Amino acid sequence: MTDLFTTITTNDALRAEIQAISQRGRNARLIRSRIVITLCVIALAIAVIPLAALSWEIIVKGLPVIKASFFTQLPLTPNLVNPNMTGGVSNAIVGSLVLVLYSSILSVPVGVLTGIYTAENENRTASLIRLMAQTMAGAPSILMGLFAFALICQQLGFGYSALAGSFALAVLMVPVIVVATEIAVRNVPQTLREAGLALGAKPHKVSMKIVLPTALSGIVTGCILAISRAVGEAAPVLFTIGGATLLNWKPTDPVSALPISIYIDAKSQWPSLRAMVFGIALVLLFVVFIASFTARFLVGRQQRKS
Amino acid sequence: MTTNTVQVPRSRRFAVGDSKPPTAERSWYTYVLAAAWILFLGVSGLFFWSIVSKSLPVWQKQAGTIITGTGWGGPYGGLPMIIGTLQTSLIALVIAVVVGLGTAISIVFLIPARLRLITATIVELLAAIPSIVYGVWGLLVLSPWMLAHFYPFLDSLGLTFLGSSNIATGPSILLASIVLAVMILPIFVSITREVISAVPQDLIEASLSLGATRWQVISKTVLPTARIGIMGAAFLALARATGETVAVALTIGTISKVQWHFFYPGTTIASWIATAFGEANSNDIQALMALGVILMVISLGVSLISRWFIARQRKILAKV
Amino acid sequence: MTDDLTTKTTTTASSSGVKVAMQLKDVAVSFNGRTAVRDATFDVAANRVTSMIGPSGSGKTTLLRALNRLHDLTPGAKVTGKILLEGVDIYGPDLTVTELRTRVGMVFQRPNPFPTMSIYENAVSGLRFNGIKKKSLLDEAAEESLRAAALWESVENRLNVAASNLSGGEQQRLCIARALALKPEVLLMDEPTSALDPIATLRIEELMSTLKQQVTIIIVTHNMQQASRISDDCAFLLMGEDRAGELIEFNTTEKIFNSPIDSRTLDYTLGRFG
Repeated sequence: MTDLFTTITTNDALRAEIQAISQRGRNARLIRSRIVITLCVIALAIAVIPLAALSWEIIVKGLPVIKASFFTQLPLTPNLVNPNMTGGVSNAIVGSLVLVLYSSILSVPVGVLTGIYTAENENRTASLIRLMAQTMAGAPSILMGLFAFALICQQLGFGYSALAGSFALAVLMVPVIVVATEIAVRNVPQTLREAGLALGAKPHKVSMKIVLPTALSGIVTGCILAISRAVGEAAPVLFTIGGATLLNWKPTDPVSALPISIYIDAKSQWPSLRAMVFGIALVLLFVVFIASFTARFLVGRQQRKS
Repeated sequence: MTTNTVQVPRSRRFAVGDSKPPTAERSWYTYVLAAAWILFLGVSGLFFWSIVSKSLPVWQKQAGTIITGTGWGGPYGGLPMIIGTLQTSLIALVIAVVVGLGTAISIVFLIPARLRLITATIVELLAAIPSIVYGVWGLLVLSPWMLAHFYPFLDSLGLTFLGSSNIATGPSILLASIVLAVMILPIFVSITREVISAVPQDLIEASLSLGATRWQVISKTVLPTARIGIMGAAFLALARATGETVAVALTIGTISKVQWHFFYPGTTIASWIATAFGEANSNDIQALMALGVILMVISLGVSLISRWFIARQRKILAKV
Repeated sequence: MTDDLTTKTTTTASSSGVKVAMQLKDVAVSFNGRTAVRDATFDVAANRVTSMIGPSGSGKTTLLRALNRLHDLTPGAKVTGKILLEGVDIYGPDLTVTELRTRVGMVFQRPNPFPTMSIYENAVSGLRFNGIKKKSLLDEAAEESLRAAALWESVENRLNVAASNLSGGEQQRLCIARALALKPEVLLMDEPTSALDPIATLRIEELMSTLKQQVTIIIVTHNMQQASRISDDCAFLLMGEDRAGELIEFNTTEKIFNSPIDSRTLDYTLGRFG
C-alpha cells in the first residue's frame, strides 16, 4: 500500500507539470495546425488549376478553328501569299480511326482472352502473365514505337504503315485490357459460378454463359480506357505510321493520326498552323473525356447491379 | 488508371481451370485461351528481345561511351540524355510530391464529403488527358506566359544571376519539368489517396483522443503509417516521368548537351529518340535503340521499386 | 413504461455525497437529423467505474464518444444537451477540444498502438502531441504510466522494440498506458476487452479496479458479467421504438443487477433479450 501511495503523490506533481506545459503551447499548436491545413487546401487548388487552365485555353482557342473544312479537307501548307491556308485534318481523323480499328482488332481478343485465363487459373503461367502485363503497362510508350519499327517496319518489311502503328498501339493496349479483364472476371460473385457448377454445367460453359456476361461491362470499360489511351498516344506512332497527308486506310499504307498532326503543327513557324493545334487538341480532349465518362458510367452501373 | 492499382486478394481467387477436366472436355475453350496467352507472352518477350538485339552492335562497339559520352554521331554519347531524364523527372517529382501530398490530404481529410468526389474526379480526368495535349499547353500557353511574366518577375526580384534576363527561347528544362509535374500529379495523388485513406480510423481517433491537433494526426500518425505506400506512389510517378516522350519533346528544346542551367534547353532519352529518329541513318537507329534499352532499364527499375513499396504497404496495413 | 419519470429523477441520487467527475444532462446525439441516442442524464462519480450496458444499437458507444467530442470528426453529427467536466461545459468556449481530450482519455475496442512507434514512443505519444519535450519528464511519465498499466516489468528491457511485437493483451495495456501518461481525469473505455482472450481480459479487469484510485473510468461493455464484476455504477440503455437508443436506468451496479426499477432492465439483466 505504501508503494501505491507514493505513486499517487508523484502523480499529482507530474500531472501539474504536464498540464502546465501542454496548456502553454496549445494555441501555438492549433494555429500551426490551421496554417498547414490551409496550405494543404491551397495545394489542392494548385492541383486543380492546370485542368481548368488547360481546358479553358483549349476550348477558347480550339472552337474558332473547328469548321466543316476542319473535318473534310486535307492539310495544306501556308505560304507567304496565303498565310492562313491550313486546310483540315481529315487525313488525321481517318488515320486515327483506322489505327483504333486495327489496333483494337489486334489487341482486344488477345487481351480479353489472356485476362480470362489469368482470372481463372492460379498457376505459374498466370503469375508470369500477370508480371509481364504489369511490366508492359509500366513501360514507356516510346519503346512500343521502337519495337514496332524494328519488327514490323524493318524485320517484316512493311515500312511506315497503319499496320506498324496499330501494332505499336496494340502492344500498349493489351496489358491494360488484360489487367481490367482479370479484375472484372474476378469480381463476378463466386456464388454465381458455384450455382452454375452445381447445376452440372461444365466449367467452360459456366465461364462462357454466366461469368463473362456478368463481367462484360467491366471488360468493355477496360477496352474503352485502352482505346482512349491509344487515341491520344503520339510516341508509339511517331516513327511507325509515316504521317501521310492522304486519306489512306489500308493496313500497308502510311497514315496520319491526330496526336501526330498536333506534334508537327505545334512546332510549325506558321501561326495559323499553331492555331490549328488547339482545334485538334479539343477534338482529342472531347474523345478522351467522353470515353472516361462512359467508363465511369459503366463502372457505376455495374456497382449498382451487384 | 486506377484499375491498374486494384488488387484482388488472393483468398478471393478461384481456380476453375485447376479442377483439370478430362481432356475430352477441355475442348476449344482451353485452346483458345492458351493461344491468346501464348501470343501475349510471345509478343512481350519479342518486345524486349527486339529492342535489345537491334542495339547490340552499339553495346559491342562502344558500351562505355553510350553511357558516359556527350557527343552524338561518331561514337554515340547518351550522357546528356540520361542526365536530362534524371533532372526533369526529379524536379517534376519534387513539385508533384509537394503539391500532391497536400492535395491527397485535402481530398481525404479536409474538404467536405460533397466536394470529395468531384475533386477526385477532376484529378483523375487530368490523368486521362493525352500527353501531347500537355505538351501543346506547355509549348503554346505556359511557355509564352513564363517568358512574359515569370522570368521578368524573377528579374524584378533582382535574381538576375539566374540568367533569366537572357532567356530568348521558351523551351527549357524547367518548362519540361513543370509540364511533367502536372502530368504525374494525378498518378501520385490517386495512389497516395488510396494509401492514406486505408490508414485505420481508430488510429486517427486514438491520436485525437490524446489531444493531437488535426495536423499532428496527419503528420504523426497518418503519414508515418502510410509512408511506404507514399514512396511507392512517388516512384510510380517517377517511372511515368522518365518515360514521357512528346510532352517533353515539345517543351525541352532538345539540345544534346549536359545542361545544368534549368532555364535553358536540354534533352531527355525519350524526347531525343522521338526527335532524332526522323533523320536517323541505320547507325543512328542502333544508337537510339541502345538509348531505348537504357530508358527501359531506368523506367522498369523505378516501377519495380514502386511495386515493391506498394506491396509492402499492403502488408503493413494488413497487420495494423 | 410509466417508470421513465421516476428513473430519471433517481439518476443523480445514487452518487450523492461523492465527488462528481462528469455530468450528463439530457444528452442526445444525432447523425444527419436521425437520433442515435437521447435522454442521457446521469452523474459520473469520481474515482469509480461507471459502466454503460445495453444491447447493440442502444447507442452506448455513441454516447461514450460524445464525452471526448470524437463526433466532431463525423460530418452531420450533432450533440445536444449538456456535458460537464468538473462543472465546465465540454462543448463550450472555456475548453478547447484538444485540452478536453488530454483530460478525458480513451481506450478503443481494438488494441491500436501506433504501428510505426516503439513501446516507449507509444507510451509518450500523447505527451509529445502536447508539446512535452523534456526527456526526464517523458521518461518519468512513461515509467509511471507503464507501471500503472501493469506493463512495466515485462517491457522494461525492450522499450525501443516496435509495439506490434507485444501480445494482444499487452498491446491493450500499452494503449491504457498511452492514455494514462497524460494524467487524464477520466478514462473512456469502449469495449476494451472484446478483442482479447479470457486471460488477457481478466488482467485488464483487475487493472481497472486499481486504476480507479487515480482516474475515473467509464466503460462500455456488451458483457453483463463484466459490468457486474468491475463497475460501481451502471447505466442501462435500450433502443426505443424509433430505433434511437435511450437511457432506461442509471443506478449503482448493485441495484441495477439486483433490484432494478424498470422491468426492461430486469429483463435484460436476466438475459431475456439482447
